Amino acid sequence: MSGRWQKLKALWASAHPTARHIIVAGAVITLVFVVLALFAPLLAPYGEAQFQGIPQLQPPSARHLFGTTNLRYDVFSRVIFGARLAFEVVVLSTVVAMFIGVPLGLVAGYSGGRLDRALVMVTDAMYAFPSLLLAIVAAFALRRWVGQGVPAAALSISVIYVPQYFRVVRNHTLSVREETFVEAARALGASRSTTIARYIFPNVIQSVPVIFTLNAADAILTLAALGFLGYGVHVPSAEWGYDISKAISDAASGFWWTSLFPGLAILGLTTGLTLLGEGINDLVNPLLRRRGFRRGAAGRHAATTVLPDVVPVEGGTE
Amino acid sequence: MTEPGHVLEARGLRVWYATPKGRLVAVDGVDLSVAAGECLGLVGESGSGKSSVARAILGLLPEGAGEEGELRVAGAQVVGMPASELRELRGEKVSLIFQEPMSRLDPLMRVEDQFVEMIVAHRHEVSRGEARRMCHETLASLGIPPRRARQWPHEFSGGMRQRIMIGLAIVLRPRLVVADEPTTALDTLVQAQILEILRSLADDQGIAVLLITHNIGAVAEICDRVAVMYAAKVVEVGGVEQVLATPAHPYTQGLVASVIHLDTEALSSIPGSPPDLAEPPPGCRFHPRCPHVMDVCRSVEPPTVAVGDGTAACWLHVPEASRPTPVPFVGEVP
Amino acid sequence: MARGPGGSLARYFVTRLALVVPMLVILLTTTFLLLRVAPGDPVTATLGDRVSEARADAIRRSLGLNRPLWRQYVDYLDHVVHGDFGKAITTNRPVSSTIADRFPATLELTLAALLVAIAVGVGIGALSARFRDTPMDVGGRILGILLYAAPIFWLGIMLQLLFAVKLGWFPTGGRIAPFSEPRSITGLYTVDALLTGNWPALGSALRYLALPAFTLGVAIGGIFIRLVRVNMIQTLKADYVEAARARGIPERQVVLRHAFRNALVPVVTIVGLQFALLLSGAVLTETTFTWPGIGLSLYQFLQDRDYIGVQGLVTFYALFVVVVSLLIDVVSAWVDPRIRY
Repeated sequence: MSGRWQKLKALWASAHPTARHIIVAGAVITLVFVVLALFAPLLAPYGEAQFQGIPQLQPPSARHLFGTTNLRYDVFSRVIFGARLAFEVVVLSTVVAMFIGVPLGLVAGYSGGRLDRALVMVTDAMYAFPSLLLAIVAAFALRRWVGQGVPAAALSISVIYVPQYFRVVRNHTLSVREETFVEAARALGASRSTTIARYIFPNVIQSVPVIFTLNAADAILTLAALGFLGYGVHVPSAEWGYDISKAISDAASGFWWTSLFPGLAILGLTTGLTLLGEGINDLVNPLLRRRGFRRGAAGRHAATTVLPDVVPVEGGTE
Repeated sequence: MTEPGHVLEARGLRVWYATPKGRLVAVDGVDLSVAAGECLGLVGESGSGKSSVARAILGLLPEGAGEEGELRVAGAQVVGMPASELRELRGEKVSLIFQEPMSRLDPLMRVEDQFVEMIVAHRHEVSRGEARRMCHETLASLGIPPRRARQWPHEFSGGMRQRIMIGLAIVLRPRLVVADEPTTALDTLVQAQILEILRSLADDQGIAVLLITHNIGAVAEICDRVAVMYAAKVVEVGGVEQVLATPAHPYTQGLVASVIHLDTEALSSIPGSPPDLAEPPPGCRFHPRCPHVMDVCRSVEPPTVAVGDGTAACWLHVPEASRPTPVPFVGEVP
Repeated sequence: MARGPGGSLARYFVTRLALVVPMLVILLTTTFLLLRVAPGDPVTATLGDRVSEARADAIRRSLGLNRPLWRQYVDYLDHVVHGDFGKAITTNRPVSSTIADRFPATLELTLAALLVAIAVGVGIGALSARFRDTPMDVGGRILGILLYAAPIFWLGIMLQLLFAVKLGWFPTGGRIAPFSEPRSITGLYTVDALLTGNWPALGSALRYLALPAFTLGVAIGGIFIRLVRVNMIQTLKADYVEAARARGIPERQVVLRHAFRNALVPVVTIVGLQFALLLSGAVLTETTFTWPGIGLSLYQFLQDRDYIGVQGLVTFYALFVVVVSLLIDVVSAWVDPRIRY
């Protein structure tokens, strides 16, 4: 484990300053939202769905920093509680997607054959389909079955990400399978499940955090879109996308604050997560990373002929 | 085509790169010259700085690199030349042939169009039809049927593509062709054909050819003279017969021995590995690996002295009386 | 090895066509499974207590919901093959006629948005790559990330607030001013107005199209910026680009003709991949701007919980996506001669 830590430290040290700034900025922004989510009841001046004692459609003021809505909600409090909801759904959907996608990817990548080909074909088809529509169909079917709520929203979103986890893990498994230490284990008579669990899984699992950070922003946007279309978490939960959908008519009358602030919250959190994901991906993915002094266009040769690769090349995503 | 003076003339050429570890001097005070119709081999291991020499000649050093010294191509000083003049020089006066012909042609452009683009870029007065004719003529002279000019790069084999690269290099009749490991990526049989073509450029068209390679065999086959580079410095220069038959520098000796005995490209008969150019050893840079190492080699850089028809930078060729006494260790105060 | 480019392109098309069929079957099966196998009765889910039990039963029978599941599946596929997407429960209208009415609007919006996205993405992405690590690059990258991170519908509302409500330059929603529709030829108002020389209609159509197309376009363009930039950075370092420079090709030409053109090859594929995103975005944009396309229809069916309507439209989306992916592959093969082999 300390070896891996060392490697990460070396990666970090060798990274371009811009890449480091991107990661730090992304981490800070994300952290702010994590704090908002964790301490929402303490930070929000009003309740999530409190309307008593709140005036209707007031512009931002000292009492109501982000103004109030048609339904007498305090926008500021709704934005804070929205962060909590967003994290709940995203974390749950990721867990579900991982629990389905990772094992499928391991088995398909390791065994190959007809099962693998069939699963790849299915995920290819899923990729081509608009992901939001997929989530909507799932939410639509689930509403009839289990109703609306955090679990239903999370399940609907996880439908999009199962194929992604599957593909990355499968491809990674395929390449790890051919490596010497795995072949050696097999030659020594390790069973299929042992090989997967002991040798392949620990290697493959490293790519999962990268996919997670890349997908998290997308998941927030999908949840917002589901909420906007009325298929997110049930009312009156504070959901940014749903709140924006209710604010369309306000906007047409010039009441800007009911839509602006929830949108800024989505923008902020997705930006933070995207920066974090992109930065980490840049760091880990050798294709995009410049080596050492390589700058500008024609540096390739000098870099390859004069200097050895300073940093060990890690398996990127796909 | 003979005239006084050299087509390529380098004096004290230095090239360095800024790295996180500090300045890395890849070419450290190199002198070289190639005359019209002559073929000079520049030999060294990868990392010895020979490719940096090639890039410096074309003015193609990457951003973050620096260069100084005298470097004349057809009389024009290349170091410090403005970008627009450099561009006119490239392809017109000096061409570079690369190691990997497979990736050096734009995959989205027909071969003919790549010729036309280049010809028109340098000779505005030439019509496209005329440019096409020049392309066909050049390809035919290299054994490629002109009807194939309309094909895409991926439709040619590696050897064919290297011929195309040579065609692009010579279509404007440059004075100097720099070939950087032109045969490394090719089959043995094709290698011989490409080398023969390079030799004929010097013989038939009076082009000065600089062949950069780690392959002593290729040098023996086509070069008139050879320069040996080790750790950013030229350690020996001379006629091919002399250098290969009676190498003066211990590094050249090891290089030649490894070829003769093992016939591999690896320099396996020289123990140790080349030094880190960010922190080169003091004295002679070869001393940690040299079988004839003396005290003086460890602290004082050897001068370049005449040996036969060439030169070598080695204390062995300096009369003992002229060698300085090595710097004494600290603590042994006389 | 060398084959006439025309012939091999046709052959490539046929091979791709064969691959499309399983993809379509998978998408249709997924739609069917998600919508029909989930427990709960679709008719009561749609109509609730609004109809009598006898009436609900009749509807169930007319939809074939009383038959065994495998039979329903076969019927579903059979109907799709014959262009029948079912009859919406709430409107009592065939979904196919809704599509016929409204698909041109969606097509017009997505194509206009695609133009915006390509202009924004390719322009800024290429500049970002060319001037890597300069303020221009940093600005381009930040813009790319912000555009990607902004929810489309929110972006739309903000633009509405500014340009429609505050400045009054554009209408807040709709497709064209009432009674000024041009004579229908393609169904795309801008194109039809151009073809018939109906300038007032063209002006009106463009004014209504501007905000939705810009919204959807820049949102997708954010992703294009990032992808074009990464590709262009790769091709700017490519061996053939250095070789072109070494031949004395002027820098502008090196960048535009060699680096840029090669960077665009994967972009064609990417446009294809992002097309799905464009359709998702169109649903949201149409809803925000009440743009009368199939996305808005889908939204209305979703609100009404009209499950036949939703199923019909989603099925159509699947068909559309498959056709577009086929088209994109053919275009990439046409652009890049290497793919045809």
